[in-house]
Amino acid sequence: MLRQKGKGIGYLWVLILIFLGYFLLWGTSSTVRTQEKSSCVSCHTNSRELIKLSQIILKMRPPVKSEETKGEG
Amino acid sequence: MAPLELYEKVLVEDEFLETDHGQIPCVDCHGGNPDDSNWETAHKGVIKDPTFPDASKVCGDCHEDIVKLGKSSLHVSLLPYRVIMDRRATPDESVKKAIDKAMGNHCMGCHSSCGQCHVSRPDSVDGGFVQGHNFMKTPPMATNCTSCHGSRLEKEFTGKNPGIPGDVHFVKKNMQCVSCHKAGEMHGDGKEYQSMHDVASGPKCVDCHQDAGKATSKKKVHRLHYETVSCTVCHSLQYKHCYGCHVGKDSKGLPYYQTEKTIMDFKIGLNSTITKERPYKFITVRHVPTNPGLFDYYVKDGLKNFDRVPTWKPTTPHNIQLKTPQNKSCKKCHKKKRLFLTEEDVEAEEREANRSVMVPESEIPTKTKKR
Repeated sequence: MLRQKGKGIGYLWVLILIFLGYFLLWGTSSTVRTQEKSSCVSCHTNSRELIKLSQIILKMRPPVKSEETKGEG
Repeated sequence: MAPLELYEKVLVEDEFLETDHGQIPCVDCHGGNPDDSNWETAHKGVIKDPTFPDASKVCGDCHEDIVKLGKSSLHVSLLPYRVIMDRRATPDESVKKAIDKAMGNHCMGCHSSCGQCHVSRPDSVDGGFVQGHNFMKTPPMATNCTSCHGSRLEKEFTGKNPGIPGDVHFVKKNMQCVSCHKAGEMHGDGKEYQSMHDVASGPKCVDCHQDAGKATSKKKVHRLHYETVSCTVCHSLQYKHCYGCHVGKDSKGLPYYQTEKTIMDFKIGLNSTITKERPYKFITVRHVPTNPGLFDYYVKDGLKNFDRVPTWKPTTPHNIQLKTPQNKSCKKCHKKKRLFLTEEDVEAEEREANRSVMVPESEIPTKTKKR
């Protein structure tokens, strides 16, 4: 009787783990899916890539502000 | 506030992608081509701040009420600037067009938007995400409010003016801008206010210090002054006054501004727009950076009606203290001509403009009557 009860609890734990695993994997894969879908996300979350690009952009278009601005705004 | 590196400005945190806003495809708000792996062509047509000038498309579906009212927010419309310049402008269509152009190039860039408060730093300080594109319900003071309101208010509030302590609300209670300036005031209420002092939901000292604004106040000094003197006349310290401003474009076509002197002073003027909410005879006034030749680069003599609006404006210095030099005793303020804005303090070319706020010597309180 006790052994059967123990088996039942064991099955319950297995089921819980399967459910948890499914939801965890589903959550991760959906994030990965979103990131894979969009080149915007894959680039804008990659600091190394952005640093590389920002150096190129700064060479192409250096920031421009008038040197004649004086005083407190 | 240290500027951000270019890459930091656009670096999206992974955490953002898990938020509600992060579930919306980038292209829905910002446009561009997400299927293009070439960054240059992918960014064609990208809208950096999709919430300005019209936030209804991107914010309106979920935040309909706020967006509707938001058009009347002074942070978005900057209406008081337009109202003042319209009054000062020479009444001529070509002059008004030239002034509109000048204001577009130099003044109107200082607006805010939903995104420039809740997502990124304002454009006027070159933008950049505050928290990796996460949406912040409450905009942080240091990166958002004081990045625009820095020269005067931040320095007063946090005590950055040499020798002058910061506001007691900040120094002792660590209150932030939003502690007093609530969302209702920031988002607008649908009314097109012509002055920030008219905004119904603007903060008032008596919202917290209720006793101070009553004829039955426990303190005699409040009972005597509560309707004739604004709170800041007694409870603020010296604050910054800026003079002159000229705008133009340099040889490369880049817009610039040049302001003249900046001084610290404390001046009590007359309240020229007495209302039920602001019944005071005396208020603190601040000189603002302007002059008749402000837009000369664009149009000569464009502000022929300059004298229609004072250059000393009602102000709420943000360095409030319980005890100040002028409230130590009656005699520290009464008869103290140097505290009041008199003709001697106002430059000759601006006297006519400030006639309604200058305090005639006969109006300076001379005696402390026994009551």
